[in-house]
Amino acid sequence: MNSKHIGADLNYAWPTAEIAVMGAKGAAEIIFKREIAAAEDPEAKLQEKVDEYQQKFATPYRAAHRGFVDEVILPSQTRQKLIRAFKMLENKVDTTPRKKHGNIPL
Amino acid sequence: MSDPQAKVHSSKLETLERKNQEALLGGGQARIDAQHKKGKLTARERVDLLLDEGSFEEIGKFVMHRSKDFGLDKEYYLGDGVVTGYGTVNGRLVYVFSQDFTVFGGSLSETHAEKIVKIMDLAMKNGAPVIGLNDSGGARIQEGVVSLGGYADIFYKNTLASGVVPQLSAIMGPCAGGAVYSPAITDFILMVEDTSYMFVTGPNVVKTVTHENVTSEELGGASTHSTKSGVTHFTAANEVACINQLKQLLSYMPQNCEETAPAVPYEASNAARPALDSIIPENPNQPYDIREVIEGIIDADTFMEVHQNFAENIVVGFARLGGRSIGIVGNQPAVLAGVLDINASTKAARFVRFCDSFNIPLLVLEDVPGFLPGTDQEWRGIITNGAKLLYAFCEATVRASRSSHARPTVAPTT
Repeated sequence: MNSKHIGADLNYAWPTAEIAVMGAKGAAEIIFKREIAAAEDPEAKLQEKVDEYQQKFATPYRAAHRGFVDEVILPSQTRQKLIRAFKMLENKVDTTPRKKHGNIPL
Repeated sequence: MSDPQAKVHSSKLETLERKNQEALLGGGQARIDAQHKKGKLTARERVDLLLDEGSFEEIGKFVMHRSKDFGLDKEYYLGDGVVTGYGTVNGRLVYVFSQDFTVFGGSLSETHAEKIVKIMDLAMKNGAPVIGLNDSGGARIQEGVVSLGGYADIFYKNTLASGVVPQLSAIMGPCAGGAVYSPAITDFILMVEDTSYMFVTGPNVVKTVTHENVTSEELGGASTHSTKSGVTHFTAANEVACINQLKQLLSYMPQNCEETAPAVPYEASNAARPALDSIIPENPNQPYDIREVIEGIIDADTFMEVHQNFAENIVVGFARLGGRSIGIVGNQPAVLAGVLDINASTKAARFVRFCDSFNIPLLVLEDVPGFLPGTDQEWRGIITNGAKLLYAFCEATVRASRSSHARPTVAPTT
């Protein structure tokens, strides 16, 4: 919902996070459609590809490598990290372009 | 030998005292008793409960209506059905109006509206919240269009004040017709269970127009508006609880859009919360309650949930973190797997915009499978409504952190 691209100041992820375009099964079905259809055992092939996708993409690390996630943290650290983060951001100044008012899609 | 001038003087003081006593009685003792019999407090009792003891200063106590039609020229009450003024809540300035059901059923006249507008103008100039305690039968129909003009004046001020000072509306009795739209423009609505209701038209008109048989409670009671429509943000079992909610809610807010919310003293200690390490179930299909994650992060017992029973697949509310006020938006995996639908989007978007308007930092806890697929959502405009949430987050410049804490951030496509 609130990614860095749309203005979040800091993004943390827990190690359990899965940040991807879609679930691993749906993604594998699309990306490896032909490969799966051509396999002797399509079910097994699908599972193999799901596992592959899961390991590659369904983690917070892809996003962290890009800097979309600032830090992957232990859940138990969340409170102290956030207390410091909000304190660091206390005097944040940010502006939006001058306008009469926006037109939120009502 | 008595001094005749002193006598005149003292009789003038007595006149003032008599008028003051008369104003305190509103529509008279019999009507006050009737109000109590319904389990409701009077306008003044509510103000006393809300404000710090002895802090209330009344404005416009002797105002009377100017109508002559339909026998109104024979019936006058000091204050004209609304108690207005200012005072403090936990030492902080607020402006308040409290409608008096004992005077013409709390109906809104031209002068009644002028009193409300007067304190709203003061609130905007001086940068302090406005609290409305609503208990009104609607327009004063004997006044006709003049009364309707009064409503329009209030809507206009509500809109100008929106985003400038916090505006809170407690509904403590009937609130029907045009009267519903002033609270609707304000930031938060609180309703008292069983004794309050809000609707555009009452059960009688509904029966005539749509042939539906419906009670006031079903049509627009606190439970309806807290679960089905989302019109009210909070409900309370009784008026005292409702007023306590108002006070708590105010504690998270700044006085106006130029300030930040007051922080409470905080001593850094024991910030690690080991229980969070095992809160996400191994099995991704097993849900958990996002409120446990929230409690695991914030200062103990500081979470005040907004819209608790509406669009429960997303949880929003105020809390304190290290003594500072924050707003929290979190997907709720325990309800519909935390999916985003129309109601969840509009609920969260409105909350995000309030926080951004009033410099309340946002914490977003994300565990969302995406938007809810299907004809129902598409035909009712999940595109437009989902865009509201996106717009609200993009627009927000208040400092924001996101904790994408659990599992998928995925959007089901195709």
